[in-house]
Formats: sequence, C-alpha cells, structure tokens
Amino acid sequence: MSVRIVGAGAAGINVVDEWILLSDCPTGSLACDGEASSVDGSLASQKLLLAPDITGGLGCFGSRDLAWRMVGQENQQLEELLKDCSRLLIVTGLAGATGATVAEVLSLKAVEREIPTTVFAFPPFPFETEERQEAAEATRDALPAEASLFLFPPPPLSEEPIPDVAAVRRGLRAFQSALAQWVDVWSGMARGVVLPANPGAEAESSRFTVAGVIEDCHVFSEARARLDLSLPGFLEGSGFRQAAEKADRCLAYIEAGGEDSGWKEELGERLREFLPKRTRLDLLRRTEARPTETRLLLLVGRAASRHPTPVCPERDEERPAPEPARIPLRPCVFPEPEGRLVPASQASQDGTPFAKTAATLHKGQNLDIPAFRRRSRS
Amino acid sequence: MFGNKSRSVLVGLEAGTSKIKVAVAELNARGALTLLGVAESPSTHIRKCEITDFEMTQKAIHQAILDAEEKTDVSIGEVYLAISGAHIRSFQSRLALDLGREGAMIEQGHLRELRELVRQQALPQGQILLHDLLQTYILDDGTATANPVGLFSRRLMADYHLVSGIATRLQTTVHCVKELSLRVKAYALSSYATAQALLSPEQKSFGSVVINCGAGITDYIVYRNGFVAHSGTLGVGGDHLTNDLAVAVKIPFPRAEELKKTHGTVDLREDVAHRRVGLMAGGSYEQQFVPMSLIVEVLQARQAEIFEIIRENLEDQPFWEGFSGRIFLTGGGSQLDGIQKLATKIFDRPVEAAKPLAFEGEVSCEGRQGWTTVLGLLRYGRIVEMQESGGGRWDRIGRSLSRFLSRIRLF
Ligand SMILES: Nc1nc2c(ncn2[C@@H]2O[C@H](COP(=O)(O)OP(=O)(O)O)[C@@H](O)[C@H]2O)c(=O)[nH]1
Ligand SMILES: Nc1ncnc2c1ncn2[C@@H]1O[C@H](COP(=O)(O)OP(=O)(O)O)[C@@H](O)[C@H]1O
Ligand SMILES: [Mg+2]
Ligand SMILES: [Mg+2]
Repeated sequence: MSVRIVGAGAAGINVVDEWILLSDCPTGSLACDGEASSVDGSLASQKLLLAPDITGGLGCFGSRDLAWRMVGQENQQLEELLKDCSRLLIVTGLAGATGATVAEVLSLKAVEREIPTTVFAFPPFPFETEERQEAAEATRDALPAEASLFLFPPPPLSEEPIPDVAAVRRGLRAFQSALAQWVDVWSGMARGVVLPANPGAEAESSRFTVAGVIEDCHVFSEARARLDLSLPGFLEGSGFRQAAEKADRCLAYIEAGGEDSGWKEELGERLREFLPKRTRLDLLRRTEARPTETRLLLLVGRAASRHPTPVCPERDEERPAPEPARIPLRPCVFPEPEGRLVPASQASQDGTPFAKTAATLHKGQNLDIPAFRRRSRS
Repeated sequence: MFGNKSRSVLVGLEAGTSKIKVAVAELNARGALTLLGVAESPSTHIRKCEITDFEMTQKAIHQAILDAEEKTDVSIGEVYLAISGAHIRSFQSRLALDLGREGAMIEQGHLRELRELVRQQALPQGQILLHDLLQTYILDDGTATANPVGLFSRRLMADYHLVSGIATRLQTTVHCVKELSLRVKAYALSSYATAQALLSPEQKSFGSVVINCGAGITDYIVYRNGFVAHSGTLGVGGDHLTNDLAVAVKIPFPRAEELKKTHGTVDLREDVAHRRVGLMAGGSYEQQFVPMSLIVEVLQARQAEIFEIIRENLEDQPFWEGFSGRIFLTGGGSQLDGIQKLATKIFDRPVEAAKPLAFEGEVSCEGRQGWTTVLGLLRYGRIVEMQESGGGRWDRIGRSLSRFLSRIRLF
C-alpha cells in the first residue's frame, strides 16, 4: 500500500515540485495535467499527461468542458492510481480547469474506496475573472464531504497603485514553498514519522483526514538553532497574532533537532495565549528529527461548512423558477480543410519554397503553380 | 515559472516563413511599453508558416533568442507566440438563450452561460479552439449592445468570432519553443496580434482591414465597431511572387528574391515600361537582361490574385457591403513597389501602408513592416500581463476596465 501526493494542474504541480526539492523522502509524487510542458518539466516520480490526443498536449486552455472530457478519457488511468493507495493528498488551484477537475473526480473516486483523502487547494486571486471565481466555488462545493479540504488563500497583492511584478512573483514563490512544507508534514504523518504530540491526544493517525473544510488557512514558519529564544518575537512579528484571532483550528508542527530543553512541552500553552478559546489546537511532532535545526510550522484557519444553503427569500418554494432553455440558433458550418499533399514536381520547380508542404488549393486551382501561367491559360 | 525577474519584460516571438523575429519590451509602472530591441534569424525550414524541419527551426529560434538577449541584456524565459498557418480556420457563431415568454432581466450569469455554450461547440476532429472573440449581444428587439446586463429581453443572442486550428500543427510550433526551456505565456493568432500593433481604438471601431503580406502566408483581419468581425488566412505570400519570377525569368530562387526586392514593382509606370534590368553573371549563369514589363506582369498577376481571393472572401461577408473602413497593408511583402495602388484598384477603397503605433524608448519601430506581428504580440502581452499582476491597479482604474478585460479570453 502506498501514499500518493498528486499535483493537479500547473499550480498544483508547482507546489509538489517545491515539496520534492525540500523533502528528505519525497515518495509517491504524481504530476497530472493536460499541458505537456508542465507535466514533462515536473520532478514528480510519476507523470500523467491527460488526453494528449484531444488537446495535443496543449492543455485545455481553461475550458472546463474540455477538462471533463479529458479526465473522462483518462478514467481508467485515474482508477489505476488508486488501486493500492492507502492515503491520498491532492494539491491544486481551484480556479484552473484541469487541476480542479482532476481533484474533483479523483477525490470522489478515492472516498468511494474509503481512502483517506486530503485536498490542499488555493482559491483564485481577487483579480481573476468572476467566471473563474465561480468555477472555483463550484469545485469547492463539489468535493466530497468525506475528504478534508484545506483552502489556502493566495498571498495578498501589494496595496500600491502599481504593484511590483517581481515582488508579486516572489510572494507567490514563498507562498508555494510554505505550502510545500505542509505537504511534507502530511507526507510525514502518512508515513508515520510525524505524530500527534498533544498530551493525551487521541490515537488518530492524521489530523489532515478529519472530514471538513478549513478555510482561510494561513501558514507561518520559523527555523532556528535555538528556537526557544526567538519564539515570542516570531509569534508577535510574523502576523500570527492577527491570523490567530479569527482561527478556530490550529495545527502546529515541531521538528526539534539538537538538545531538548523541555520548552516544546510548553509550546501548546504559549500558542493558546494567542488563540481564541474555541480553537482546536493540534500539536504534531516529528519522531526522527533532522539534526540541523529546530523548525516550527504553524497553520491556522477556520472550520467552514462545505455546502452553504442558498438564501433566497423571494423564491417561491412551491414552483421553482424554470431553467432557461438553451437553443443554439445556427449550427456552425465548418469549411473542409483544403490542404492536400501534392507531389512537388506537379506544383512547381524542384527546390522551391513549397516542395514539402501541402499545396494551397483554391476553387480547384493549385495556387502554388505560377499565377501568370494559370492566368494566361484561362 | 515565477523567476525572480527584477522588472517586467515582455517578449514576442514569431516563427515566420522568412525569418524568426523576436521583439523585447519593458512594461513600466505606468503600463507603457518601452521597446528594448528586436532580433531576427533566417528561418530556412518553415514553409507557409509550418515547420518542416524541427531541429533546424529550433536552432534558428534559439539563435534569434540569444541575439535578442545579447542586444537587450535581458534573460528571456517566457514568450508570447504568434500562431499562423493555412490550417487556421475562422468562423462566426451565433448563440441564443431563451429567457422565457415573459422575458427576464439579463444577468452576468446569462453571459457566462452563453460563453460556456460557445466553448462547447464541437470542432472537427483534431481541431482546437484558439480564440473565441465576443462581438456583440443582441436582444429580441434587435438591439445590439456590448453590455446587456440589466436590460430586459425574452431572448439573448451573442455573436462570436471563433478561430480554430489543427492541434498537432500547433503542438509542433509550441513544442519547438518549449523545448528551448522557454515558457509560452500565451498564443495569439498572427493577424490578431498584428492588428494590435497597428490599429488605434478609433480605427477598430470605425472599421479597418489589416492585410499582413508575409512570405508564406497572407493573413487578414477585419475590425468593425471595435470588435473582430472577420479574419482569414491564405497560404500564398511573398515566396510565391519570388517563385513565379524565378520560373518566368529562369533564375534560381535566391536571385529572384533579390530581383524582386530591388526592382520588383506591380505598377507599370511610363518611366519603367520600356526599361530592362541587367542581371550580372554569376555561377553558371550568364549576364541577362530582363524587361521590366515581364517583371511587372509576373508580380502583378500573383499579387492581384492574392488580393482578389481576399476580396471575394470579404464580399461573402454580410457586413462588407456597408463597410466604410480603411484597408491597411503590412508585413514584408507590403514593401513591394506599387502594391498600395494595386490594392486600391482591386478593393475599390482607400488602401494605405500601415504604421505601427509608437512605443516609448530609443528603439524606433518606424518602417518595420515585417515586424508588426511581434510588435503586436507585445501589446497583446501587455494586456495579459496587466490582467495577471494588477488586482490593486485595476481596482483603481475602475470596474469597467476590468470588466472589459475579463471578456478577453486568453488561452
Ligand atoms: N498557473 C498557476 N496558477 C497558480 C499558481 N499559484 C496559484 N495559482 C492559482 O491556481 C489556479 C489554477 O491554475 P492552473 O493550475 O494553471 O490551472 P489548470 O492547469 O487548468 O489546473 C490559478 O487560477 C491561480 O488562481 C501558480 O504558481 N501557477
Ligand atoms: N522590398 C520588398 N519588396 C517586395 N517584397 C519584399 C520586400 N522586402 C521583403 N519582402 C518580402 O516580404 C516577405 C517577408 O515578409 P515577412 O512579413 O517578414 O514574412 P514572414 O513573417 O512570413 O516571415 C518575403 O517574401 C520578402 O520577399
Ligand atoms: Mg494548465
Ligand atoms: Mg509574419
């Protein structure tokens, strides 16, 4: 049985690649997209290029319908993936087409097979089109309730009137590598090297497989030789306080190299000082710490319901509004492709520019033949 | 993909039949483009805009990119790519949404639904959609509007201009670039990109035709009321003129190309009618005198045919009768002497040489007729880039603009 970490779509693949670079045991990675360039360029150990015969490896250009067709075609491959899978993590951007569709289909299939499934997803940036925002919402709602969904809002853009593009890109990069660290925590739990450290914690193997949505997830990380000394400063200075105020769920991961001065036992208490009472705090720790330094990762978010019930008081419940009917008025007429390979000698002199191409035909004439000849003939 | 670039640099790449062309510009904080430089390398293995030798073409592209990097001192990782070829098809599509017998107020959702519908249209086997360009919405009373939200109607119709191409052909071009570790940020139909380099918003709304005379292909696009009304691609171009000349005068292709560029004309004026052009002896060829009347006859037959095919195609379009816009010629082939006069006669409308809209910076784009496609790619890229980077920026400029942008679909 194995663990699978799937980067779905270009954005998801980016994060999984980051994780592969930072992890000491990057096993079970899979890159899945319709775009050959992002799949081929990925570091993942396994790659799945979706329906190259439909899009020619160009991806679906953001079209959800095409994405559905592509995923539909790869149905068997996707099921194959889940055959001996014990635990599944999918990382994806919700506003894309391919990644979001793969996440939806794969997670449904996984929960059907009772495979514990987690989805790390990023909602769209505020500036993405309304269409994409809605598509993202739809995917969020379509993910199976049995899976646990973590929504990481992308980093805010600068407030300046004209944002520095380079800075925006750096921000995005930092965001992706922060996420990659949590992919590593997830993978550690799945492999049994990261365990709950709460005093009296339930024997639950993974905090990530608790069903539900944790939205508005913010992540913070600090790594130092003597973290105990810098901890108060970090908690105040990193923005953790502000984020914690609204949180009702907090995951803290600690990986302690070197000498144990006992402060880690107090970590829970220290964090509690920042968190509202209702917040559920889970401490995780790595059993076999890497010896370099002490690392602390924090994730705070809010539990949310996945299927908000729409409120529309005007709507007459008895007689729901009819769906608008769709009638395309005029079916498209496609011209037949005209190109046809004609032996070069017939078209023009040898070695001419048209020797290797399809002849240009127009109304029964081969336009590669000199015009003055055809004209004088007629 | 999000490298640490210190500034926002846009790169346009066109793998043309005669040359690979690269243009590099900087997008500054005000959203203005400064042209940093252009570079080119001869493309010997592209015919009618299609790659016939993958490796050689890749080398040529690499060469042009290196040259551009050297000239502009920019490291290129990402390009905007022009797409063209005789396999490109464009067509109109009208869709309708029934809003019930009582009528209903039109909402954003209806517009989205229409767009979904248009993208669901079945294309012939192996084709993929390159652009779906919205033209206008039409209400049941015949009102045409760009923004029907908030209006009442029983039926909402939308006209789209769709462009599709054969997936495998596109894949070859894109692959060729991607294998050089260059990311293709977006693609644009070559004529669509070209129009961006030439037409002001006024010209787009007043009505304009841009004919791009390339080496292997002549493509054209029509703007009307601010949107793309029509586009087309004809697999005949400057190479055909040259080839005809080579056949008629019985000289090799490269010699004919030179003859065309130095003495070629399609205007048989008094002063040239009786002249002859001397071709120096060279290789196995003897000195030879070619009458100008022959050159004009050969070139005119071909160039006139190209324009006539385009005219016939335009005449088939419903809007053409009432069309009062101008026709602009661009591309390397538009430098042929007398071509405007010939086109004016054939189209029976004013025809002029197109002038690229100015960029900031030292590098001028005046007279760069063969460069208009890559220059247009930069302007196309600017829209993509600003759309991507600037939540804050657009908020300030206003919702109307972002609404406009959201309508431009990028692949
Ligand atoms: N392409 C891309 N998208 C990102 C990245 N980070 C966040 N996103 C978000 O992810 C969404 C999905 O994009 P993408 O994965 O390219 O779409 P797909 O390939 O069709 O699944 C985008 O709309 C963004 O909101 C990133 O690094 N690259
Ligand atoms: N002065 C000129 N007179 C006639 N044709 C010209 C002249 N200069 C360039 N051309 C023609 O223009 C074509 C190249 O145009 P260009 O727009 O660069 O094509 P492409 O983009 O297809 O490579 C060639 O066929 C060339 O012969
Ligand atoms: Mg993609
Ligand atoms: Mg060109």
